[in-house]
Amino acid sequence: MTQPIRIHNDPGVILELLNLRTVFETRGGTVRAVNGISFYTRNDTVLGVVGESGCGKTVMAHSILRTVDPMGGKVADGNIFFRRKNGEVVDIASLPSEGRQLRSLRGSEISMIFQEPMTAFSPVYTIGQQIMEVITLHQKIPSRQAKAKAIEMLGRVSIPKPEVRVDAYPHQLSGGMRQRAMIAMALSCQPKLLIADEPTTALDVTIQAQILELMVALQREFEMNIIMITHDLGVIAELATDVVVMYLGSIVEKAPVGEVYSNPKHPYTKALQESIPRVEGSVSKKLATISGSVPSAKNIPPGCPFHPRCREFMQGQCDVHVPTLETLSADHTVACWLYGGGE
Amino acid sequence: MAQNTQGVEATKDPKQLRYETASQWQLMWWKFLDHKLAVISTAVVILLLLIAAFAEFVAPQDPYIHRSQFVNAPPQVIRFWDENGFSLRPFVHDYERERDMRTLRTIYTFDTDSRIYLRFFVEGTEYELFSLIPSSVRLFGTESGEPVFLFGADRLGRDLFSRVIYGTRISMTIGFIGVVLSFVLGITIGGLAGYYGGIIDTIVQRIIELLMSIPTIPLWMGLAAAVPRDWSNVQVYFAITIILSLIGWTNLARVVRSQFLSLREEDFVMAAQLMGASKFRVVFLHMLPSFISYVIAAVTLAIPTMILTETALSFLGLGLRPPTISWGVLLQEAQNIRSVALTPWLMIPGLFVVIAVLSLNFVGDGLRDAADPYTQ
Amino acid sequence: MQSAAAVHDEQVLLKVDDLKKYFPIRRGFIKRTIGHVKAVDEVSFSVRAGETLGVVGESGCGKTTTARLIMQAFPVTGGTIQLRRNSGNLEDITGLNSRELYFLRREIQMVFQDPYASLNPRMTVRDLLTEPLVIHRIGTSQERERRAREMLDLVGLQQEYLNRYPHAFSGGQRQRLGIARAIIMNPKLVVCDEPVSALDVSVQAQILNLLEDLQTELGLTYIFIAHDLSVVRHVCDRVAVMYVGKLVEFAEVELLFSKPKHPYTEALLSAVPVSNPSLRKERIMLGGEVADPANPPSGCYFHPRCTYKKAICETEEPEFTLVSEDTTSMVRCHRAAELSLKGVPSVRDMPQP
Repeated sequence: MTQPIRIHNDPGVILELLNLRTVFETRGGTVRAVNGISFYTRNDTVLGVVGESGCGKTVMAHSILRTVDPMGGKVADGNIFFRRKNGEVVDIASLPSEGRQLRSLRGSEISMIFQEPMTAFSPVYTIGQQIMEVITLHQKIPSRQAKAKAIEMLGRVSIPKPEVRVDAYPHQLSGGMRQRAMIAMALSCQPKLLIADEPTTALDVTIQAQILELMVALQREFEMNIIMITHDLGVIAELATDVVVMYLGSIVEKAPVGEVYSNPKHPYTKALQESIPRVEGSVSKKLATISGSVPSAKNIPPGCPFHPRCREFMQGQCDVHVPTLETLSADHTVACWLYGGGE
Repeated sequence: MAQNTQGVEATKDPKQLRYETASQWQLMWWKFLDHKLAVISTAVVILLLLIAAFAEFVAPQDPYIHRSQFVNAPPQVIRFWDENGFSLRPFVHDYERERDMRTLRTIYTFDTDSRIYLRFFVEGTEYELFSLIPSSVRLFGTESGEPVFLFGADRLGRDLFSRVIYGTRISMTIGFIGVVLSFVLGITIGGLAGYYGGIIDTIVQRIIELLMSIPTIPLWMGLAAAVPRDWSNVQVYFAITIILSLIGWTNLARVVRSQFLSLREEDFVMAAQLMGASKFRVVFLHMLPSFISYVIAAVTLAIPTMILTETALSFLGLGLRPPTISWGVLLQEAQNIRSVALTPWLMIPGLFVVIAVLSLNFVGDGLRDAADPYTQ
Repeated sequence: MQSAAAVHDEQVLLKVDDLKKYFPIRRGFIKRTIGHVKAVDEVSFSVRAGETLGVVGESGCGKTTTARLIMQAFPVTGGTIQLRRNSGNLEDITGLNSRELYFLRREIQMVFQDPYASLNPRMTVRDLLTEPLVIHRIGTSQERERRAREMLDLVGLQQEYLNRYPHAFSGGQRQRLGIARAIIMNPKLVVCDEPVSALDVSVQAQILNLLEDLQTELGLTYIFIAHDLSVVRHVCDRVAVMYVGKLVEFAEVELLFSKPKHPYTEALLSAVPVSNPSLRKERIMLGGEVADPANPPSGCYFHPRCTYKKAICETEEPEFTLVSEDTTSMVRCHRAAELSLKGVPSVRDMPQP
């Protein structure tokens, strides 16, 4: 299986994963959390990664930052090509764990925000101190200037009275404000890539709307890329430009956002679309369901990982052979035997 | 309702089925077995408990018999071969005595030409197992009936090995019984505080804090010194046990209380209450089984502390007193530099303390890790 | 205060009037009460037999406290909760003694949010399902087991599961067990506290359909607590919207979604991400955050965030009243009659996915 490495030929590509595999060794056996995924993301896009629990979306994010290593995981195979600010392309998968090169990337070129900002902030320092730490770690500037920068960042994420809030401790802020502060910290070094792991899942719907709008605005302002990881198809529809659908460690479909919603190809994507209740009203009262539940990543079914739950399962094909990503049109790829995936 | 069927068959795979029908205790057992050190330590602890139970049988001699000709005799080594060749039957060399004319001490050497053969299940002096069954069979002894001193002898010529065996009984039981008492106190008081909360909880918390703020060593020493000198051995034994558990319960009460507090908030406890379950049912069917494993782990970890404290008190002469034999009492013999230099084998009881404490700690660690089999 | 809807009295299964729950705020060494959090305040609504009533709102709005009050998990501070008991009469269930509560439990049951926490992991499916019957001394052990098997069939699980423990099951399967346990005593009313929000997206639909099927089959009445408006629109017949402990709007589901009457409802609807990128829309963005129920604003609690506020909103608290004579919708807003608020587009206006 050889795929063209785009990032070397196309300067618009800033991140490209090639056949990435991340595994966790546990007592119960090897967990193949990310099981050979490849995709690339181009400049100025918001890439939505959508999937259910256990699909490997969070592990994939931590693999890109190589923060899976301390979690007990290991990037077992594949490449993570990333174009640095100076244009140089590095393979993050091959960098030494916790080495200087890796640390210089984190926070300054690739940042990450999490579902629960309370766990990402230390409770014993003010948010100002923590933002300043990130700034001074990557830039040699005096602390007065760093503090001014921290206040400026807090202002840019629309925190009211940033010059006061800069001295607040994380627990003194509400959930929405903490998430804003988290974003301010993540953006303080103008990264090229922001990975957001379910940033609004813990928030109320009105606060979620505020944060999503803020992220869209900041993406334009900072000219960065966002990888938005979520289980909520609604969130994806609101701000993504391209979508990757994951299931049990594999990518089943990748397409521009409009295509995914108007012309989904993979049976999983289709079923997911039909099974979610919609606020804009549903045609029928009965929801379509996907039978069964997501299997454990400890024993991924052979062949296509979705075949035991698939409505269009083909005996002898889907349960034996693993489909590969097939290109249907310029930007639309799908891994399914219905579309002749594989050789 | 066909549309609701899961599409996932109930498993027929016996291994998976065994896991799916495994109770809390089975899951804990499997998790405990993964902790190799804890498993080995459990074997050691069981061995020590067996020794404690069958001390009369295991000890080759009566631990109180003085033999003036063996005063301060060094340990005899069990051998299968010497200069005179190999023997299938284990033996020890006999002692040869000389007298140092300057210090008038007996100097022991071994007669390498002599062989005293050892045998299992020999007839020895009479004893009553569990104070009930009269017997005279000992686990091992010499064919000739000569005494054998595997750990040497003390200043009265008593067999240290037999004394350590008898000491195991007292030291181990004092830990276990003390812990049972703390357990009862801790679970009752902690349970009351945790279940009722409010003013009862506040009072209990303050009492525990008060007890914990008293420096333990002086407190123990004070209490132990208050034990009347004319009490019998049995009375002193129980007095010391009570003193140990009086302090030990505070930690357990805290464990129980915090478990109660966190379980009260659990959905399944709320669910039981909203089903109309009585308080009794909620506590004994839902809450107790959920935290008993944590309490057992905490209890196991409390035993070594008890053993160490008994040893320390007895060593200082404030705990058990001769003729009672415990590891601490035995160590009292090794208190001065002279005995350490001339009769270092008197410190062997200390080795037993270390082994017992380490093993119990490892077992406790294993239990603590296995206490919640539902994570992950 | 007027009753929630002008429904015929016989249809009403549960009637909540002026419900209040204040939690004391204690400070200092002797735990002196220095104030109250009005978790639920002046809440009135009614539930008709056989319907699904949705209660929605953001975290801290008091929806879960309302559910627990109806379950009588703790006493009310004020107001009444009337349930149509087996006698056929509406009876107040607040302030019952423990024996009366025990009998009440047969008639109201609850489905919890977290299927992992709400099933005792140390009990087999048999013990879990039969526990309500054991507590209420219903049937012999064979009869209980037979009933448990029936329940497994009903919720779409296999009877072989009877001997297994909860750790053998996935989240969706566990929620089925939770539902089976709730309905095994044939309750009249089932309070569902966010029953699908902890589940995977692909499993949610199974559980929602199951709840609907059971309702048709057994004639159950649900109170459905949720924060997800799409789920509410799908399963509920009428919806109560709560904000900082108070009911701000109560209406038929279609009416509420298409013609909201309270500015908060409008903003809430507008904030829901629409899973159709061609419908990306201009939002009514609510500024600020949900008010602190321990220290609520003056006048209408919503006024600091409201885009339609007038002077009166800051000083005077609006009453919870009928919007107009010809509807059954109730709203707590000074300007309800004059405002024309925007709902979510209905299905016909949008391109089909």
